[in-house]
Amino acid sequence: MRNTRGFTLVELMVVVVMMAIVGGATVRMLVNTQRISREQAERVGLQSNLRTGAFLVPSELAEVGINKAGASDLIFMGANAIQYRAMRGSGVSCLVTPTEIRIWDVPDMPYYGLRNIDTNNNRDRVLIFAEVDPADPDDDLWVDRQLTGVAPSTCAGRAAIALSFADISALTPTGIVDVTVGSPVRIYEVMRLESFTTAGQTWLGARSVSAGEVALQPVLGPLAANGFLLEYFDGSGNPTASATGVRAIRVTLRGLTQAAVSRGLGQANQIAQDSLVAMIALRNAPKP
Amino acid sequence: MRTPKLSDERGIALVMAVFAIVVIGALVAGTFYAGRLEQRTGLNSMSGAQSFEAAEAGLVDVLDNWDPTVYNAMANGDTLTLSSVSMGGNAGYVRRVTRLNDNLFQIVSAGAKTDASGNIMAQRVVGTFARLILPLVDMSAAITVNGTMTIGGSTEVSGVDRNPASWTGSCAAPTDTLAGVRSSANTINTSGTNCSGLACVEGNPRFQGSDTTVDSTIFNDFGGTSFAELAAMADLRLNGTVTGVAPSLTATLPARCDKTNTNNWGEPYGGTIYAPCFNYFPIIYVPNNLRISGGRGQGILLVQGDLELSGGMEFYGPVIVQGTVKSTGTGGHIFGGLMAAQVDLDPSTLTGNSLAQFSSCALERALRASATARPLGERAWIQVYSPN
Repeated sequence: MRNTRGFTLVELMVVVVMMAIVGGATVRMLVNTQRISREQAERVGLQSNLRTGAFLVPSELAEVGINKAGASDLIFMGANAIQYRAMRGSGVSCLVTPTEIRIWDVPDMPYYGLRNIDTNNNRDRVLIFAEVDPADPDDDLWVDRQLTGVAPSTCAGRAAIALSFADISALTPTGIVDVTVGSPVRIYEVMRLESFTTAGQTWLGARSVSAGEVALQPVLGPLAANGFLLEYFDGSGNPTASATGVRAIRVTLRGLTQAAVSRGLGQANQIAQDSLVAMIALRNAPKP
Repeated sequence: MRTPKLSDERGIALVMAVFAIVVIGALVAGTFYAGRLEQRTGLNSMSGAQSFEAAEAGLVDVLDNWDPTVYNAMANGDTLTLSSVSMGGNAGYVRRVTRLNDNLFQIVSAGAKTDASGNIMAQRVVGTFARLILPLVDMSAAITVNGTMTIGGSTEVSGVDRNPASWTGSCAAPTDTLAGVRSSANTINTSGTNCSGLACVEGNPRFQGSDTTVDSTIFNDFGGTSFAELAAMADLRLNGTVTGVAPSLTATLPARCDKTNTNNWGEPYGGTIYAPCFNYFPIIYVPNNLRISGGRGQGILLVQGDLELSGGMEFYGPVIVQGTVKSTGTGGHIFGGLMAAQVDLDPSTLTGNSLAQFSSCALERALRASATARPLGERAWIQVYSPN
């Protein structure tokens, strides 16, 4: 009888069918796992993209200023593009001559910069605070000059940065005496943020206008067709088209996933979209 | 009954079950990982926003609670790091104030969000350039009067700019000689021999009458700051009769100038005993009438009604009175300048010696020391990046 042991055909068929079912289920599970994981990565990437934008754009625009004389740092205001004076650093003068200002760069009075000062291709300009009448806060002004040179230097034996520019002795109304030691100095470049489309995808791009850059460098994306939307509001919260009337800018970012992701059982995969809105108060605009 | 051996067990059910558990486990772990990643990213964004708002709160805190006796007394280039402030919710800020020059300050505020153990989760640093707002008081004479003025007794009025005797080193030596009395009226009433022919007045000129620039405007507009706005900034609000004005210190050590004492109007005499009060120049506002008898003080004295000085009260700084100033008995001594609608400096006793001495040093110190700070009108706010 021992030699008659074995599997019947029926038993083998049952085993094969069961293995097919289990194997199919396993493969499906693996495929699903891979798909879900890819979708998760896509969605995380999308949200991370939007958060980057929600940090970057307000950082760029929060320092935009509008002065009392009516001049605005907002050079161009569009629904999908904005051109502005982007502040890149600030310091405090320790020596003033008609063609050079030295700013402190020491631990107790550092130069606070987003990056090093760059005079290549006329990228950076300087704003120098001038106090016309020390007793009158209403006549203060900022003198705007193209930077022609930047070099390490010293003030009273301590580290400083020397900034060169065209002669400011003919400043109005009273000349170089308006600029004193201890005057704030700000470095800026003219930037443009704009959405652009390439290879069928829309991106948020940036370029330095003052440095003569023509091509937009992608900053984040891909975005939806209207994925970078700017709206401008005055002090009362009403929409405005006046560069000097703007007190807040609302930025809407609509991002897309790079690849199509599932929308659920039985539905075709599709590019997913998410959005993020940030309201930027212009802190250097006159108070309402 | 035979005990079954493992080798007798057939099939792959166990292997398949273990495999399925591993796959499902990986799937669940992956989902948790993605969820955790998303949660951490969101938390970081929230922490960043909270630290930014905390940093902003630090700037507002300094400006809204500007202490002139501390900040206005800083030397140019000095930096003062203030104690950290906790806002609750594990957020807080640290502030640093640097005096850039006579008028300008830089305030830097670092806001941080920490976890329960105190580890910093996010930090943002912002700053602002601020400037002192000094009231522009139009005092170009020892006494500016927008109406009638009587002078007599042993009163002395001097438009010769002089520094207070004990303020050595506080101001440069003055050289100007201004008018003794500047008035919208064309005459000044005198009585007694001392002031006959304006002999008790010195200045260039002694009397500047019919001055059309003396009108109600200069009593109410101080360079964009109105009388009411100046009054709203008052450190002390007083009424009635005040006696015993004198500097005082806190009982707790180290002794500080006791600003809670309404009879403490600073220490104009200098010296070491009340040195903490030497830079205390309160704005004193009186909504009605005030009578001061004796004592000494400094600051900006604003009186909506009438002011009566007696007992040799000494005051250093600008005195602006919307009503009448009267000096009786041993009259008051004012170093700085006096503006009033009407003035009667005719002490009833021969021993009276009212004095109005123009002092640009007293005016400047009082106005500067009382000044508050406000962000620059343009481009004040800065994002503070890590020093390069």
